Amino acid sequence: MTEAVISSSVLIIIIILIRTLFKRKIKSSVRYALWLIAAVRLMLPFGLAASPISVMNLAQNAVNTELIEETVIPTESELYIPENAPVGDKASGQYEEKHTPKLRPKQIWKIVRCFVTAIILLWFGALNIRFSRMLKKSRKELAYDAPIKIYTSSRLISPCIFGLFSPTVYIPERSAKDSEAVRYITAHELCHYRHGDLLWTVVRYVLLAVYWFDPLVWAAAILSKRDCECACDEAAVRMLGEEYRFRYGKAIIDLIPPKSSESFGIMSTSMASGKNVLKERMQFIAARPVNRISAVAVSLTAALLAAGSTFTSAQGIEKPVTSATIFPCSRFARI
Amino acid sequence: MKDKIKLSSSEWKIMSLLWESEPMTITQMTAALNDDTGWTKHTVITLLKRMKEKNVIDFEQVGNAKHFHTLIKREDVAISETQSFLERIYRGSIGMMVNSMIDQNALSKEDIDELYDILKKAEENRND
Repeated sequence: MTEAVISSSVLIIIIILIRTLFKRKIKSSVRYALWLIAAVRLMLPFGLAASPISVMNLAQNAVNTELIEETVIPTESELYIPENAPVGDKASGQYEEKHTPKLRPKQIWKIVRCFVTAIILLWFGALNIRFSRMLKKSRKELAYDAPIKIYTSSRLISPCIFGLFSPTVYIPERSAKDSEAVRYITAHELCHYRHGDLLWTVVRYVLLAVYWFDPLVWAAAILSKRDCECACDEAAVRMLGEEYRFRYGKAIIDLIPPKSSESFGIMSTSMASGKNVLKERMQFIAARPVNRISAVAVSLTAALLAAGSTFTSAQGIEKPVTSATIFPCSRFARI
Repeated sequence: MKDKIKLSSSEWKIMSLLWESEPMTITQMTAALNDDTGWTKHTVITLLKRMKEKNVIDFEQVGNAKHFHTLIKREDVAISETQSFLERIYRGSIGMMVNSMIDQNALSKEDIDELYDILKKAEENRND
C-alpha cells in the first residue's frame, strides 16, 4: 500500500504539471487520457518489475522501515529469563504474557483504513441504488433514434447518463421540449458512453473510497472529472459538426439553473468555483482544440517516463528482516 | 423583470411533484417522495407549511385530507442550490456514479451572461 501511495502521488503530481503547462496546447482528450495512467497505477497494489528508474529507489527506506516494524522483534528482556524467576507453570504464564503481540500503530491504521473504505463503499452503494429507484419511478420514455434508451424526468436538473450495466440517458422534462437541445444533450451523453466514462466514473469513486486519506487522489478525481467533461464536449462537437460548436455551448449554459439575485454569504465561494469551472469549459468549447505536436510529444514522453518510474519497484529490495535473522540465538532462549 | 421566487432544493422536489400531478394529499406526497428522500410525513408537513407561508402552494380541505396545489409556474422559480460540501455528500450529489452534463450549482444572471459572452466573442472572432 505504501508503495502504491508513494508511486501514485509522484505520478499524479507529474500529470498535474503536464496538464497545467500544456493546457491549451493539447486536446482535452489527451489531457483526459493521462489520468488513465494514474487510475491504473492506483489499481495495482505492487510494482510490475524492478527497475533502476523506479521512484521507489528513493523511497526504499520508507518501505523497508514498514517491513521491519511489522515483524515482531523481541526486546532484550524477552530474550533472557530472569535469574530468580520461579520455575513451573507460573513462569511460562508470565513469559507468555510478555509475548502477547500488541497491536502496532501500522496495524491499527490498516484496520481503520479498511473500515472507513467499507463504510464509504456502502454509502455510495446506497446512494446509487436510491438514485436509480428515483429515476425508474419518475421516468417517461422519449421517442428518439439513438443506440441507447432516452428518458425524461421531472426530478432532474441536469441531463445525465446512468447505469453501468444498462446505460440510459435522462433528460430534464423542461429541456425535452426543445428538440435542438435534445440533439446536443444526446450527442454529449453518447460520447460519455463511447468513451467508457460510465465505468471510469465507478472506478473513480472506488479509488476514492480506497484512498480516502490521500488528498492527491482527491485532486486527481476532481481534475479528471473536469477533463472528462471537456473531452466529451470535444467529441460531441466533432459528432455534431463544427458548425454547431457555439449552439452546443449555448445549450449547456441554458441548462444552468438560475439563482435569485440575493447573495448567499459564506456559500458564495462554492458558487464561484462552480462558475470558474464552467468558464474554463466554455473557453475550451470556444477555442477550437488543436494538438501542438511538440506539446503532445513532450507530454507523452513525460507520461511514459513517469509510468516507467512509478509502475516499477525499487531495485535490490532485500528480503524482509525477521527476528530469526537478527537474533538467531533467541530460539534457544525460549525454554 | 419580476424577481424569481427562491426555493430550496427540498421545496423544489415537492413543487416538481405537484407540477407533475396536482392536487395531492400529504400521504400521497410522502409516499411518492419516499424512495428518493426517505422523508417522514412530519418532514413533508414542515416543508409544506414553509411553502404555504411563501405563497407558492395552497390547499383545499376535502373531508379529512388537505389537497395541495401550486400557485406559481415553473418559470417563476429560481433554485437556490447553495449547498455546502457536506450537504452535497448527504444529498448525494457527490457519490452518485452518474455523468451529469452540468454541475448542479445555480448561477446568478450576471455569471450566466458572462458565460454566454465567452462564446459570443469567440463566434464573432471566428466570423471576422
